[in-house]
Amino acid sequence: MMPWLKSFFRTRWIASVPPVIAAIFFLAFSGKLPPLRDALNLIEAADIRQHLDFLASDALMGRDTPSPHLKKAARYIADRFQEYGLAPVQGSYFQKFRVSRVRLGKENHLTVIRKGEETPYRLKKDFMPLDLTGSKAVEGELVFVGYGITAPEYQYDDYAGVDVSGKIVVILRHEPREKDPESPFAGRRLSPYGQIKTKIQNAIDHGAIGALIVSDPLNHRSIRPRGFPWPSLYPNLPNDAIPLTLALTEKNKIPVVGIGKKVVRQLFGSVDSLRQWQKRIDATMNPLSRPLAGIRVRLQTQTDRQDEETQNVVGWIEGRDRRLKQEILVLGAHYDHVGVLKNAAAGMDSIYNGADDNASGTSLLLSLASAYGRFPTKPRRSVLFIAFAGEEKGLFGSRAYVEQPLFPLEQTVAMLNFDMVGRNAPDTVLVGGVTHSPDLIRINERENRFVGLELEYSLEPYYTRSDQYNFGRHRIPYLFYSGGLHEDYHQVTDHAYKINEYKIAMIARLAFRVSWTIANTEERFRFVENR
Amino acid sequence: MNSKSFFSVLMIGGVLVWGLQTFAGGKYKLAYKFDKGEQLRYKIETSMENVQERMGQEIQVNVDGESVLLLEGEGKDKDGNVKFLFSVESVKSRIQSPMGDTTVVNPEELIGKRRRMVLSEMGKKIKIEDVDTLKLTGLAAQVGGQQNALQFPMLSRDAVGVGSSWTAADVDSQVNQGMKIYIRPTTTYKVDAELDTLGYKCLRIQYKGSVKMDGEGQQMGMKIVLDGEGENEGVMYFAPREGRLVYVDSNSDIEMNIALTGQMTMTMPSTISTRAKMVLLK
Repeated sequence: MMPWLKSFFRTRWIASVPPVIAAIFFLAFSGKLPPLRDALNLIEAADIRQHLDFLASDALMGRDTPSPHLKKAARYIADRFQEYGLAPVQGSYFQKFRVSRVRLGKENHLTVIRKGEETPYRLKKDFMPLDLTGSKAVEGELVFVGYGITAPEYQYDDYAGVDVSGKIVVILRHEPREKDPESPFAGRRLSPYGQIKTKIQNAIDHGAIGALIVSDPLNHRSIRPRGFPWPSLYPNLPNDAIPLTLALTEKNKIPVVGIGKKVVRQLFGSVDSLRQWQKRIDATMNPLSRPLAGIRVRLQTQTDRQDEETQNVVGWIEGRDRRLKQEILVLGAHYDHVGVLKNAAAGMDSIYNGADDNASGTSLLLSLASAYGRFPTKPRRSVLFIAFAGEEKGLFGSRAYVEQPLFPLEQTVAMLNFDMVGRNAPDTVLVGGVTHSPDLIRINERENRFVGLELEYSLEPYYTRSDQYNFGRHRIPYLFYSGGLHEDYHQVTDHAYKINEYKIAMIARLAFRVSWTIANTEERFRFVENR
Repeated sequence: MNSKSFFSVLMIGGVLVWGLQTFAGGKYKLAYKFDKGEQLRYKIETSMENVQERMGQEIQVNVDGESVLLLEGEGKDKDGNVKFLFSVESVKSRIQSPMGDTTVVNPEELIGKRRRMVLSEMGKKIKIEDVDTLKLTGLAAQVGGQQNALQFPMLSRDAVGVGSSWTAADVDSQVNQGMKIYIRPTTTYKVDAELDTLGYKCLRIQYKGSVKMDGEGQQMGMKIVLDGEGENEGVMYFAPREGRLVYVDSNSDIEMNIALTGQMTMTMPSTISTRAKMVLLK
C-alpha cells in the first residue's frame, strides 16, 4: 500500500464511510431516486419522434381497424416491445379478436301468447331488433323486471325475488328517478347501469333467454319500437353504414327487441298502466318485478355476420416481488385511427394520419416500455403494456381485453391510458380519474412535483370516450392523460409535424413516476362509483 | 232616408262586404296576412329531448329555450306571398348533455340578425334567406335553431268554421351545415271552437299528423344520411280577420336515424321529442 493511502485510512473520518457506502447501495438498489432518474433518462424525445413519424406516416394509411396497415403498425409495436425486453403474453405479442358487420336476417318474429291466443306483431311497426340481438329463436314465460338493474352499492336489485331463468324479460329503459337530482343513479346522464348493454348483460347473467325493451313512459313521451335502424328496413340508409361490432360475445347473445305501444298495451293493459308501475318503483326505490301471469312470448331474431380478425399488441414486465408480481398494472394507448377519406377529390389529402390521435399516445407507451424494459431494476408488481386496436370503432380493443383478460381483472390494480397527448399548451396535461380514482390522482399530484407539468382536471366528461372506460366498468381505478382536443381532431390535417414530442416526453416521465409508485407499493387503490 | 242614415247603411254595407270576405255563413277564408311596416313579437318556448345511441352508448341531450322574435312585415311579393323580416330579440337556452350543462343567453352573433321569410298565404315557407350576415359558431350555433322555431301551420284553401277539417301535405327543405333535409308533414286540422284569445277572435284548430324526414350531406369528409318518421299534434289559435297566428302549442316525436360513412362508419338511432309554444305578444 502506498504511504499516502495508509495515512488516508488512519484518519478518523473514515469511520463514517461504511454507512455512506451502505446508504449509496441502499439508494441504488431500493428503487429510490437515483435509479429512477436513470430510468427517466431512458425516455427521450428523439425516440418518441421516431415512433411518431412512422406510426403517423402516409404508409400506414390512417391505421383503420381492421386493415393490413393496422397490422403493419402492430408489427412495429411488437418489434419494439421485443427490442426493449418486454416478454410476450401467453407466447404472443398479439391478442387477437374478431370484429364483425352484422346485418338483419329474414326471420324476425314476435308473437304474444295469451290464454292460448296468439298475436303476431309486425317488424318495424311494433317491434325492432337491437344491434346487440342474437341470432336465436326462443319461447318462454314473460317477467317484468323494472329497469333491469342490479346495483349492490345502492341496495337496488330489480332481479331480487324473481326467477328469470329460461324466461323472457321486459325491461324499461334508463334509471329510477331519472329527473330527480337526488337520485342515487346518474339521472339523465345515465350511469353504466342505465345503458342497454349493461341491462342485457345483467339479464343474461340472471339466465334470461330473451328481452323486450320498452321506453320508460314516465319520463319519455315517445313509446315507439326503438331498435337498430337496419338498412334492410330503412332503404334510405346506405348499406355500408353498418358499423363494426365486437364479435367475441356473439355466442352468449339473446334475442333483444324494442317494443312499441301496441305490444305494451297487450302486456300491461295500457301505456298509462306501465307508467303507474314505473311511478311506484321510483317512489319507493323497491323493485316491482313479477311474472306477467298467463303470458308467453315467442321471439326470434336473425342476424347475418361477416367476421374479420384484428389485434391488440401486448407485452409485459414480470414483477420482482414474489407475492405482488401476481398483481398487474396496465399501461395502455390505442394505436388505431380512422383510415382514409373515401371519395376524396384528386390531389386532395385523403389520409387521416392520426398523429395526435393516437400515434402520440402509442409513442408515449413505447417510451414507457423502453424505460421499464431497459431499466435494470424491475418493479415489484407486474406491468402489462397494451396497444389497443379498434378504439375509434367503439373501444373494441379494450373491451376485448376486459372480456378475455390475459391476467385476472381482480388482480389488476390500476390502468393508465394515454390518448392524444402531443398538442396544445406544451406544459399542460389534462388528467381524468378525479371522480373514480382519487388515490391515483393523489399519487399523480405528488409525483408531478418532480416533473412540473400544469395539471388540469377537465376530462371527467370524456370518461366513456377512451379505453380507460372499459377498465372503469370493471371497477379498476384509472388515470386518463390527454393534451385535449384541437382543430385537427379527426381531420386529415392531424400530421406528425404538429406534434410536440418534448411535451410527450414530459408526460411520459410523469407517467413513469406514477406507474413506478403504483407498481412498487403494497397499497390497493379505491374505485369510487359515480354519484 | 236622410243622408246620415244613407251613409250609415253604406258604412255597415262596407263592413259587411269586407266581413263576408273572411266570414261567410259562419265560415272564414283563412290566410296569413302581414302588412308592410307592421311589427309582431312572438314569445317562443321550446323543449327538446334527443335520446341517441352512439356506439352502444345512450346519450341524452335536453335543450330548453325561451326567445322573443321580432317580425317586421314587408308586404307581398309579385306572387301574393307574404314577406317579412324576423330576428331574435332575446334568447336563453339551457343545454343539458353528458358533456355538461350550459346556459346561453343572448349571444351577440345571433341577436338582432335579420332573416327574410317568404310565406304563402296558406302557410307554406317559400324561401328563407339571410339579410344580415350570420356567423354562428360554438354555443351560438346551438341556439341558432331558435330562429327556425317559427311555425306556421298550413291553412285550408276552403272557407272553414267550427267542425271543418282539412288535410295538408307539405314538403319543407332546410339547408344546414352542409346538410339538406326534407321534412314532409301530412297533417289533419280540425276547427273545434271559436273563442276570444289574447284580445283576438280566434278559431281554435286542433291538428294531428305524421311527419317523414330525410336528407343527406357531407360533413368533415363523411357522408351523412338521415331517415326518420314520427308523429306531431298540437293546437293553434288563429285570428281569421287579422290573418294572424295568435298561439300554437305543438308536440312532435320523431324516430330519426343517422348514418355516417367515410371517415367513420356509424348508424345512430335517435328519438327526438319536441314541444314548442309560440305566443303572440301584444
